[in-house]
Amino acid sequence: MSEMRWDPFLEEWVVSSTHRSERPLLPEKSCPLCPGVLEVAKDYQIVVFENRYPSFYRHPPMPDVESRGLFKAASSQGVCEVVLYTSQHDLSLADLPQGHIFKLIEAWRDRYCELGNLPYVDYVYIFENKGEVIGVTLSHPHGQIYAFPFIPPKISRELAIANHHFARKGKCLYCSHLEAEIADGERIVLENNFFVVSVPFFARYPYETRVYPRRHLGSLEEISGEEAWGMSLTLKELLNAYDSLFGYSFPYIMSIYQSPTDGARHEYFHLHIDFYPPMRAADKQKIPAGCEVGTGTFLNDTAPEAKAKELRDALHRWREKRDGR
Amino acid sequence: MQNIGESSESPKKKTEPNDTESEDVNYPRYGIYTLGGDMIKSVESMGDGRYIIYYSWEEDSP
Repeated sequence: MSEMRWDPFLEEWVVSSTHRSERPLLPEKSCPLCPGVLEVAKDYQIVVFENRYPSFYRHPPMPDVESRGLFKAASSQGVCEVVLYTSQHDLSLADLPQGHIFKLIEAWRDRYCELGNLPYVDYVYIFENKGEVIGVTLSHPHGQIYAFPFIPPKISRELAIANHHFARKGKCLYCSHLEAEIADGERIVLENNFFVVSVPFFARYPYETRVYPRRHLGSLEEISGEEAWGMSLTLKELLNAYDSLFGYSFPYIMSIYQSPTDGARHEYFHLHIDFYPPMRAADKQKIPAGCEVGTGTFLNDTAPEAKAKELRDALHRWREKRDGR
Repeated sequence: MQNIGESSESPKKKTEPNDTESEDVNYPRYGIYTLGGDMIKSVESMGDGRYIIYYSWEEDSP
């Protein structure tokens, strides 16, 4: 069964895909994402392919149930892709040379443009789940792309608020946030000519970070070559700061938020990348529980200002090691 | 195909779930394309109805 069911209370779609429960757990003998094993026949630098266990289909089946009254169902038309960052199984995004990350950004950009042009795709969501604690089923360095037939609810709500702010103040809410974080300074983790990373004032997770381009870009479609190079450096440094924090490969969810591709103008939207690491200490997880799941209100028992300093110190250690000091 | 640093306006028709006309029969477009710089994009069939895209470039670039 693969279909979308409407929640009339929150007015949002829930995607039901029963076949996804057949996904393999971490394989012990051979990785299906390594060259020549299962999914990819030959060696590669970066590869994108359609997910074997998708939530959305280019040619979806009709829903198993008929829509009736409150119970509304729809076919789950969209695209789900897997992005393999490298053929080298034991690396992570943090380990890749900056030039390779630059090429990955170009591949992300290509996917955003191509999938966003499909008539049934309203939102292209590029993300990565990293680490077993996140529930990753394959450890090979990879991310995913979901090309949604609708704008997902969290993003839809944010868009409405940003649009309202833009209409009222004549200014991008995200640009205002970026300026405020820079002015405060305390929560900045790193910055360069093109990008700024901070632990946001309103962070829900202890080591949550937000990456903004300084220029008002709606999506990777608008990024310049210089900015893409700056973005590759920013990601390289941020991810290595995470890994230096406790001395192990740090788990996270990476979400790249770009302008919807629904055909409407969203000039008030500003590209940003959020990282949601599920750790609150080296050996303690932050798991969304009763309050977060039940009410939507996050409880953060750390100060974003203190966590930003920890990340700055970790970045400093990594830079010293990189530079042989 | 566009390269990094270029942009295009691509207005498209708004569709709704279960819209039977919301297909792009030309997708995916199999073949080999050049992206920014020396990046090559090769779109192939996986043989089971899915597609696969290889992105490749000379290792000493950009």
